[in-house]
Amino acid sequence: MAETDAGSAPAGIVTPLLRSEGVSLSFGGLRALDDVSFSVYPGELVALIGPNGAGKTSMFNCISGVYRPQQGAVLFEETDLIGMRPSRIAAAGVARTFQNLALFENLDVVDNLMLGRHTLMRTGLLAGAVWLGRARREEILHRRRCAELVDFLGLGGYVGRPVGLLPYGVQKRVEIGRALAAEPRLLLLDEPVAGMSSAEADEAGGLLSGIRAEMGLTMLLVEHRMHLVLEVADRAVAMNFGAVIASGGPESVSNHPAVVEAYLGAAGSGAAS
Amino acid sequence: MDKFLQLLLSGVALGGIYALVALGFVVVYKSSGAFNFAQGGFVTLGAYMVYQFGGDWGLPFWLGLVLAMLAMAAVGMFLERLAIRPMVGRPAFAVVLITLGLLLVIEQVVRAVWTMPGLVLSVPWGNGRSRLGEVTLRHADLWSMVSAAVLLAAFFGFFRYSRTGLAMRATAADQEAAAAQGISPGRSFAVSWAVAAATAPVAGVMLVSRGGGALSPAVGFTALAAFPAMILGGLDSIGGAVLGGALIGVAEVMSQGYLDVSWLGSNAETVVPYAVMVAVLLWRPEGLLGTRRVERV
Amino acid sequence: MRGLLRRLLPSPDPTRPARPGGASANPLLPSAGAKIMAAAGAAGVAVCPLVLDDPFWITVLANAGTFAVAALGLSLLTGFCGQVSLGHAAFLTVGGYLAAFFGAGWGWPLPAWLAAAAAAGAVIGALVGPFALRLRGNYLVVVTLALIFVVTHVARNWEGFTGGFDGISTNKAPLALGGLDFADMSAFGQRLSREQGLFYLSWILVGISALGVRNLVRTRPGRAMQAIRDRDSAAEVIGVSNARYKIAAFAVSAAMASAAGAVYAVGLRFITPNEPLAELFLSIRFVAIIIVGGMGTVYGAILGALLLGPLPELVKEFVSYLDVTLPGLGRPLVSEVAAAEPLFSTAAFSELLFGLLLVLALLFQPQGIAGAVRSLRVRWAGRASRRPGAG
Repeated sequence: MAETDAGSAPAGIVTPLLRSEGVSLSFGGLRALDDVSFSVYPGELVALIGPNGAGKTSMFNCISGVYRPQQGAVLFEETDLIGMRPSRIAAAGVARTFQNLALFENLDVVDNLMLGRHTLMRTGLLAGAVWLGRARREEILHRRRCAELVDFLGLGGYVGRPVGLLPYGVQKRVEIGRALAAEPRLLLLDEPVAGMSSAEADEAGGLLSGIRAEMGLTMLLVEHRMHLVLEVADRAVAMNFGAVIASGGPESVSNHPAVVEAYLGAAGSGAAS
Repeated sequence: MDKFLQLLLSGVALGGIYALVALGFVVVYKSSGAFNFAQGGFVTLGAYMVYQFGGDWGLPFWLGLVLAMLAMAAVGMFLERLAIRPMVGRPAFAVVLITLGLLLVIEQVVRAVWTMPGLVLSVPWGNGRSRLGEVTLRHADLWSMVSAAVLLAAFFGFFRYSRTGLAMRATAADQEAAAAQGISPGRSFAVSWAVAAATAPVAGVMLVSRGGGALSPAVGFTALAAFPAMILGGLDSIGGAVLGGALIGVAEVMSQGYLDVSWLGSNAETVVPYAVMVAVLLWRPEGLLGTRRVERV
Repeated sequence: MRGLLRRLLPSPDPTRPARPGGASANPLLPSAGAKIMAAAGAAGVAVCPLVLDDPFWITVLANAGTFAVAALGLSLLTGFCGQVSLGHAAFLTVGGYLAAFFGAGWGWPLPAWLAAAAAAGAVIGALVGPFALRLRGNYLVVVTLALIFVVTHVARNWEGFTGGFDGISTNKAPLALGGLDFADMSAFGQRLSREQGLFYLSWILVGISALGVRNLVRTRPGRAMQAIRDRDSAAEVIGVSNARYKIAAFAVSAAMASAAGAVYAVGLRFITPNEPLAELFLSIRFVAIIIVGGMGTVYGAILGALLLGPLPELVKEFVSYLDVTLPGLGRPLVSEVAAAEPLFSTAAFSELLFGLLLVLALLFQPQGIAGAVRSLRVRWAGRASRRPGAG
């Protein structure tokens, strides 16, 4: 594992924003993650690739606190996230999207984005119920930020309707927006273009580049479509059967024999590119 | 020690009845994931039907019981078709709420049909009892245990080995996948409701007979103590229903016999099932034998 | 009655489109129309007990008010936070006994006994919270069922506090708020009865609770609850602590039910322990109220309480219409005379109606009356916007 992780940092001395160290996770007898180590440095966009069932989403779940790995550490700015409640991890500055949409379907776009800002706000029960002074100012301030985000994501035409009724591609964008609204320091994107047509996927790729250019955000991306990875990622980490099999520049990782074999071995299921 | 054995026997018998009621809940839960509060009403209605066929129309008791089981199966299927099937695809709590509405309706219908107070359900074993060494065995208790054992064994076999049972388990595990295999989810639901309702007269008769034979609409309410039994055992497990039923039954009877602490007040045993359940749930949220869920996002 | 109804209809639709791009379009600020309607409603409430010169109906409407406060609490818990509870009636009972103990017994002033009832409810409600975290959906319903058994057991047996089976008087609980005594009000040179005063008290509480719940569900804590309702695991991942907000929802809803129960018990002048079965049915009645009224809306809960809360009294009042002998049976459908062997007593018939309404609403109008109103508004709005374009 050590050799795959070594020497891939963009700048030698910078401490990583996120460091996974020997993370292992199993369900009953099934080993979902096996000694996974990799790092993400500030400002980077790292892609996590691999065939279906390679453990990419399980890794995301370990970072965001949904799963609790039996071994290893997930260090976010040197704080171990393992064992923290998901809501604490979110408050620490990690936001994510989900492979299968997980929006609050009965709420509208703005409310979903406002929920992204939940950890940035303070209004409590009593203040919310009384709705005076600080609570009111806070609400208005944060709504303004969300309105900016609505414009940035081009969601202006969809405001005011329950998001569950919006088209799939729009919902995907709302979900990215909800994660961005949290103003995270690390953004985890789980297959942001899954289920999209290639035109939509290109558009989403443009959105990702736009987000980087605009916000300079550090991102970890799970993605199947290799051409998107090649286009946007600084580095790639390839996984198969729960273990890291290669890491480095996206080009070299995608041509790595083990990676090629992993995709072919999986009947080429995800390798379409 | 004799007192202890005596109470243990009585508690296990009560547990058998709870397990029977819980069985009705579990069957529906297993096939559709719905939590059926109307089962308490089924138990009441079932007991009154046995009275109607046997006591009122003068049919032999066993024939009356079988007829009541058949009639209840029809009632179960009818209500499933009427009120539950249209709820497919709606949130689980909406289904729970609709069964609460059915419970209210069934309770009032029973009161309307059998207005006369003081009805008595006579059973072949009456108030008979036998001595077993130092312990008295009430025949009502014996029958409770026997009928619980027979029905539970039948269900276990049904779920494990019969085609319909397998289909029901498949539907519970994954409705869409089961449908893709040509298993009709609707049929599974209907069968589970019929089966659950058919067990109700047996449980009702046992509860009434245990209480001395007096019929009252509150029978179904007593049956609600089967909820803690089922939750305790783990909602999706028939073995759990047996274990939970036995634990709750014994705890209830033991507390009746031994819990003579004045500050707890009279009838503290009605609270005991819930207290036991609450304690177990804090320790094992999925129940004693229930399956732990792996969360997926 | 009309004024009250009108007051409830026009609350702005939470799904109403906000103008894109700007906090100026903040949907949190009520529109002019809503303000006018709220004022009209308040006027209606103010005039109602003066015009309605019948102590029976004034009491019925006052009780509908206390039901509305409790229903708003359940609506917050179930409609906005997605947690089903069968223990709601237990909190009303708790509140009633606290009013008897602190209000009538110790002579605490109105705000103090009301606050004590709400606080006790909140504490007991919060005790359900830990279960809400560990258990999902269905399991929790049975834990809330346990509340009924525990509370009725305590009510019967803790004689020093509750008076046991004999019950305890709530009559002496003070109803004065500063210089305003709800038990002895006067308006337009006319002395008002205790019933009229209690009507005002309970509808003032409805106003406060409706405003509070509405503000809550449109701001951070209420949004968090709705996120938990829609998708609890995702809510946790984006930073909404399920623990905190589920417990908060239970506590707030229980506090509202307890406060309502306190006022209700004082209105009745006496409180006795319920059978657990009656307590369960009362809880289901609240479920029916919020479903029929419309879950996830504030005015739906009030409307539901206003329509279904007085159902037993309405059945009793109009029993003569239902006292028809059924052909072939020779028994009347509903009658108060037990000797006539009716199919249903008035109480049983209203219980049946609650059950039927709950089932029918869930089957055919799951969004309740509020949902029907919303779809009508959408249709009207569609027609209005189509008309100029069509020309």
